[in-house]
Amino acid sequence: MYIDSLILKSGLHMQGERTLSGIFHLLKGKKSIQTIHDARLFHLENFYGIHPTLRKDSFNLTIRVLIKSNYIVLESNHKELFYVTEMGRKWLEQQEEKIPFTYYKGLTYHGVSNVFFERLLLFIQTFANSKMKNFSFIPIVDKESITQWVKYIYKKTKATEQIILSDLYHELSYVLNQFKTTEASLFVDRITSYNYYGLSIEQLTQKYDMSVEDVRLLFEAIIHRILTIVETNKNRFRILPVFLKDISTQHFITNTAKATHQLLLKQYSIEQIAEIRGLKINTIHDHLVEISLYDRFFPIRTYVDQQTESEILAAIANLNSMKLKDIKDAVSDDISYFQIRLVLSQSQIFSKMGEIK
Amino acid sequence: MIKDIDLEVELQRYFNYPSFRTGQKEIIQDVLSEKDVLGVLPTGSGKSICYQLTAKLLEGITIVVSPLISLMEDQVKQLKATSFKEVIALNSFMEPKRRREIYRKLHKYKLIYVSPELLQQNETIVQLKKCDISLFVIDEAHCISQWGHEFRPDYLKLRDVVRELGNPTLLALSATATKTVQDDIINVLDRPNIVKHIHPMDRNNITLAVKEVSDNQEKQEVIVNILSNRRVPTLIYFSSRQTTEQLSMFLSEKLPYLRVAFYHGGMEQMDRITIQQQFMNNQLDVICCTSAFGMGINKNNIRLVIHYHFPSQIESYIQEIGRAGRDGGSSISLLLYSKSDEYIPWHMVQQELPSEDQLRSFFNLIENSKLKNNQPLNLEHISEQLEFTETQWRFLYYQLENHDMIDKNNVVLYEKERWTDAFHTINWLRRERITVKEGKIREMISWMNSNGCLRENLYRNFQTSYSPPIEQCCSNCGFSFHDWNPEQTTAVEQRGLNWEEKLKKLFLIGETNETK
Repeated sequence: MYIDSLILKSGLHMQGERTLSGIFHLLKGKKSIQTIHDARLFHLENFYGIHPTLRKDSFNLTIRVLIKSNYIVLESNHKELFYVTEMGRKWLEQQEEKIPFTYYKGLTYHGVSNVFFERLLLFIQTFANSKMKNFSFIPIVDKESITQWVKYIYKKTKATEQIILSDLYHELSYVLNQFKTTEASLFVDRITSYNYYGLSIEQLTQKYDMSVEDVRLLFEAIIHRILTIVETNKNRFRILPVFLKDISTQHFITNTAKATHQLLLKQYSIEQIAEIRGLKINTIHDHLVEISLYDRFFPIRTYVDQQTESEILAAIANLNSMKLKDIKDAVSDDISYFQIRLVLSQSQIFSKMGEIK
Repeated sequence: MIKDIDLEVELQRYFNYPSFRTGQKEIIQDVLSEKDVLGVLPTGSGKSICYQLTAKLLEGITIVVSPLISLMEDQVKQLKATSFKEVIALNSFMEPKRRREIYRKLHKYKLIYVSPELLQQNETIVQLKKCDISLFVIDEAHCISQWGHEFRPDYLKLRDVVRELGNPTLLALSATATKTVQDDIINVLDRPNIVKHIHPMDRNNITLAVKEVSDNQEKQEVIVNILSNRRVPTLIYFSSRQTTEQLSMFLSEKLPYLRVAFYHGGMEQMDRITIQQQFMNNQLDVICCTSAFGMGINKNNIRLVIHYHFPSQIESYIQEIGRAGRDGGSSISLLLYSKSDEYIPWHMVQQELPSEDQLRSFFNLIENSKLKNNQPLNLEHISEQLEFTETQWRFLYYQLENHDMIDKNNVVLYEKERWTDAFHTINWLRRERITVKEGKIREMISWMNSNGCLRENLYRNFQTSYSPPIEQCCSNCGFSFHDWNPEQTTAVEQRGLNWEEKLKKLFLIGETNETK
């Protein structure tokens, strides 16, 4: 079971520092500052959001099994905290090569992978049917955003459809050759074409004798790896990068923060944005912290100068804590919560902190 | 002008069918000459062509009210696939933003499907009024009748909607309407002069079989026996999602050469499309499904429909077996039942209507809060608190509206002197609905147990006679599965290909023939 290994693997990084629900939120991809903080702090970015359909009850069930097998133990005076045991670590080592841990790039691709895959599926079906001059088929994906996108690409490229189909074939076949045979064939089995509909998740579980959860997790891993291969060899591919176009990573951010971001890009000040949007300054601050979490180029210096940042960092190191209240008490009075949160939200801070510890 | 149109030519042009099926042409002709029509056509006879072709031919817009959102969406998908593009389905689950976008270009459509809830909204009416509406279609018109098997309170208001929209030509369609229900439709719509096209619903190419067994295990044995040497397109109906999955698994193990899958409303959209289309495409032999499957599926060579659980009314049964043999070829319906199945439909009826306790709690809750502080109550919250199911809540909500006990902002209006009366009236209506439903269940059970000809008894309430069956009649008239040797389908297998070969095939590499 992949999920057992994922929990143990994440647990090893967290040993006694976070609760079990921390892992749950991580794998499910909770859109909270805390969860993303943790992902970066414990170097678990790659597992962030790789299991969006994970349910609390099945997660808890897995945990109970792991405890029973003595792979994890709960801390005696704080039942929420846990440790992976030596036995658990050994078991995990045996699983290591069965599970494509290294494929995942959760923080980069969660939310992107699905759009990419659905576009690709519908594209293949459309172009294959078009090649056979069959214009009445039931599309395998019926989400408006996906069908509109494929329709747009189809209209733009219809003249060269033959070449596109064969180029895409060569690109996919090149990519899939870098996978294990089962992985490649699992992926190919899902494809729908002319007069042929690919296998459903349920049918894949039967064919490959895996659970629904494992099929989903493996599929997610395969797509992340495909995306990684495509993005690191952009010059090699002509067609595949097209499927990644305009999938904005911005959809992680709430709509209201997005609106604030637009105004920020137009060089409005925080006060002006608050007035234009009729919101409180504090709310705009929340938006900025949210944006800075995802945007590596966030202009933090506009809000926090070098000296302030150093002071906050020193306090964090001293306290060995990320609790806002503790940090606030430890720094000069003129440093605001907003500034502390911005500093906390920057990823490089965490790698530094890792070294300090 | 419209009368001179050669309808066959148009049918070929727009839908690529060479000829009409029974009843379609007459209905279309009447509607085109602006007569109101009540059409009762058996399942699988192509009811929807009656308005789809008409929509293409009429100057203005055709509106279709249909109770099932999934059905509307399936139809829209199929129409778009046949290159009928000026079609849209509107329902209350759409994002308001998307709906407003559509409202802005409403005049561009020829055919608009609308859910009955949406027609209760003023905004919808305002937008539709701006359009030139030529035809108003009420699909599944039996939902209008209290005596129908699927009474939908929303449907009662359609008469006013039609009036608001300037009384366009009306077409009411149903696959299952007894004489009582037909009269009810005409009364509620207030169209005494409606032209009736009533067609017999018996299907002479379907053999009816009922088999009583002792338990579920025996059902499974029977099914395995029948399917073990026959590969024919088969549907097996269940009353719960869970059992579709269990039996699908069981049959796959027992009959490994058959391609079995399950289908129910709880599956992800992509998997639903996949299973439906694999079945259409002859990639699957057997589907274990709930009643969610089949509506809007146009597979014409289904040879066998099995009921693992019996439906709670004859009308549903007729509709579900009607998915067999649409090509006119000989087909079988087998209903399996054990005495212990009987509690299932009773239980389902209870889920559909609120209990007396729930109703009483609701009335008490409102009264107490009104007397105490008169704070506005959140109705959805109450519905959750009292554990109403969606259909239970819809019933109550409609009754509140109907008794003017609720205002436009969803606030319950409390009048002390009317309160007890209102409770009793609604409770009485509730009991009456339960009585109707229980009557339906009894009718079904009594039919299953009848000793006489099953065909004769099945259609008794719908028509006076039936046409002689083309092959075997029914299990009470001597049919046995020993005599059934249907033509088997051949399974084209993709097995044995490695992924590279398969990928090549899927991308049609080396495929030179570009026309069908």
